Amino acid sequence: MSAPSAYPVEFAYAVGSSVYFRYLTEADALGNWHHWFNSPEVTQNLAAQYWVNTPDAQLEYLKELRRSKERLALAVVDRNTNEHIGIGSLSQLDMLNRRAEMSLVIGSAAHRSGVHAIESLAILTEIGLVRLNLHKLIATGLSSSERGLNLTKLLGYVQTGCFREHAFVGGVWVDCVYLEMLQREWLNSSRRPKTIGWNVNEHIGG
Amino acid sequence: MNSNLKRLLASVFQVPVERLHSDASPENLHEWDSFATVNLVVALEDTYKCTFSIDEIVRLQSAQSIEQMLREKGLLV
Repeated sequence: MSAPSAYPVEFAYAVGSSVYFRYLTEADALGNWHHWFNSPEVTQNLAAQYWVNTPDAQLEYLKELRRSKERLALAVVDRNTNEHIGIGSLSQLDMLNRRAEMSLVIGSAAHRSGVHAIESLAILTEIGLVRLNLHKLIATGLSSSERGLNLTKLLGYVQTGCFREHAFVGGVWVDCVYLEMLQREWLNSSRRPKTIGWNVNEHIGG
Repeated sequence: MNSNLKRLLASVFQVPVERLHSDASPENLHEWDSFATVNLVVALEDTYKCTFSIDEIVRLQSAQSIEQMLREKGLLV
């Protein structure tokens, strides 16, 4: 279990009912974050499974992240316990064509029952398509990661493509599925949460 | 708990109806994982002809809260 967050919820980037998103810290890099990316359970469907992760490497990544304008990565935190449970990111941010690739890793096994992951995906989608005003978000997932794909589809992401035999996982070739959500689809979606709090010119209550 | 809802939940979680109590939740029902949560939402929406927002899905944290929400939406009497 990681140490309680140094950032109180009122300074969070975005706040939902079960989770909030905040900036990543050195304490996160030295805590659970770097462990997750050494865990086969977490990395089995990620390219990261082939590389060893260390606290130093995680700190280096955090430094790069802070300089980057092409990637926004945030800590996902359990609102009840302040435990850092995962990472949500928008990468390959293209502000000309207003699109980005979305990804979510829930590292904490105790938080994979669905609610935290579903709300985290919704908040990430809201950050991308509303706060950053992007036109499109892209999510990719290996066909072997049925849980993640189903969660993403539940939110309304539409499968638009498939790279055949794209990754070698567990001794077999698996496809990579391409899912997309357009801004207008999300704005009109009945799934869209109404209760996200933003740290923008307002105090977000607990 | 409403008997039809109980049967539906037992079917989604693939457990005997007798194991389904109103306090069933992801914390005490091993079968209630992320996969089952997705199936649960799809099954409830198909059966009760409704759509849940993410705010509502987040509140589906126990059999009791599911029943309560269906009653609030007027889908269960």
